[in-house]
Amino acid sequence: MMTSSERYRRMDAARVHAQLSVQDLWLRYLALGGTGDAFDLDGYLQGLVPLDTFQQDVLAQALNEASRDVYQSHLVPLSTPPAVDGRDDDRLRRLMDQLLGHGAPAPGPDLRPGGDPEA
Amino acid sequence: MTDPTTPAENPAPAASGELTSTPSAELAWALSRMAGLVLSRETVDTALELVTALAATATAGTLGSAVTIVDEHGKRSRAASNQAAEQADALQYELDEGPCLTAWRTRELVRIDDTTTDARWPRWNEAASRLGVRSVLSAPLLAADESIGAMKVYCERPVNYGPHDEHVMRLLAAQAAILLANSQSLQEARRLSRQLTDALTSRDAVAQAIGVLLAKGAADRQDAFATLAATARRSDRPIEDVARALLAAVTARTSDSAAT
Repeated sequence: MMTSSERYRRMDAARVHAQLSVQDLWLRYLALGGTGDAFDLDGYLQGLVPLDTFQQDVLAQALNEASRDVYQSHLVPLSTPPAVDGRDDDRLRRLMDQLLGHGAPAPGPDLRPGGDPEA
Repeated sequence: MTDPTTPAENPAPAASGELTSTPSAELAWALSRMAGLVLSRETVDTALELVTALAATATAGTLGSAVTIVDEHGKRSRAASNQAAEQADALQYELDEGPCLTAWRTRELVRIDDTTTDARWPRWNEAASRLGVRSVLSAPLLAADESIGAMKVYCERPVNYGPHDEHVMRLLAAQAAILLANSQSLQEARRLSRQLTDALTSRDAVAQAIGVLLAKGAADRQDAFATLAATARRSDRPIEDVARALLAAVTARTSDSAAT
């Protein structure tokens, strides 16, 4: 388990890596349902004030999505673009069926560190 | 115009009246145009263009003018009345020296009487004189103690600007700084308002999806959020997409079961 001090440092490093200002990060966090204000985030990222674990999760997700956007913006397309198929949509639809069909859905194994997304 | 016995504040327009008949009327018009702009057209670009044009008309003999502002993120915006002014301005940032940069950094007005003899910015002066720029007047744009940029007028003749022009530029720069700072704040406020609206739209979808998962037996909001995050990772989509897909699937099922 990551210690809480490691966590805020990693989050701030991720923020810098994704070239996000604290305000831009706050907007992303707000969009995912975060309830802290920009000062709460700033204080947490500098290790000055605590943030409850749920809010930390929302913040981590906001950072992961920003990092993914940065990563994808740097991808170089191949000369022959792959044929567009509905595989992505199918996969999402199957996941929705799982979520709605299995009653209480358990978080997937990939939530834990080292989990295989396709497991 | 450069008679040292005539202070710049002297109201007697004896020396300055030769080139423009009514400089104070021009200046009054310029200042009132800027005051009205805040209420009508408010974008930073429009304000920059207006200030550039006004600087050129308010100083006698001016061939070109340029304005550069720097926002709080260090982003530069600029406008120039013609190509030579634009090139002379751009050169300052390439060489990292020049009258506007000095005016901006030191917050003091800078006057160059002749770029071919001035030794303060040797590289810029040499390049600028090749562009036909001989005399320059540059004033810092100060808004609430903050230096937000600089404006510059130039002439192809040496020794074109004197104390009267310095006075005019100071007045103009004071008004221009207020206008440009307000335009910047307004543009920033609009940008933030748009971003907030987008953020709240996404937040709605995420909150509703969490509600659906709670109804399906998720332990609490944190658990429901973790489920959405896990699904987002497995499908390589942002949470907002997953939330929308979930809501669409629920709606489809509800209408299916209503139809049967």
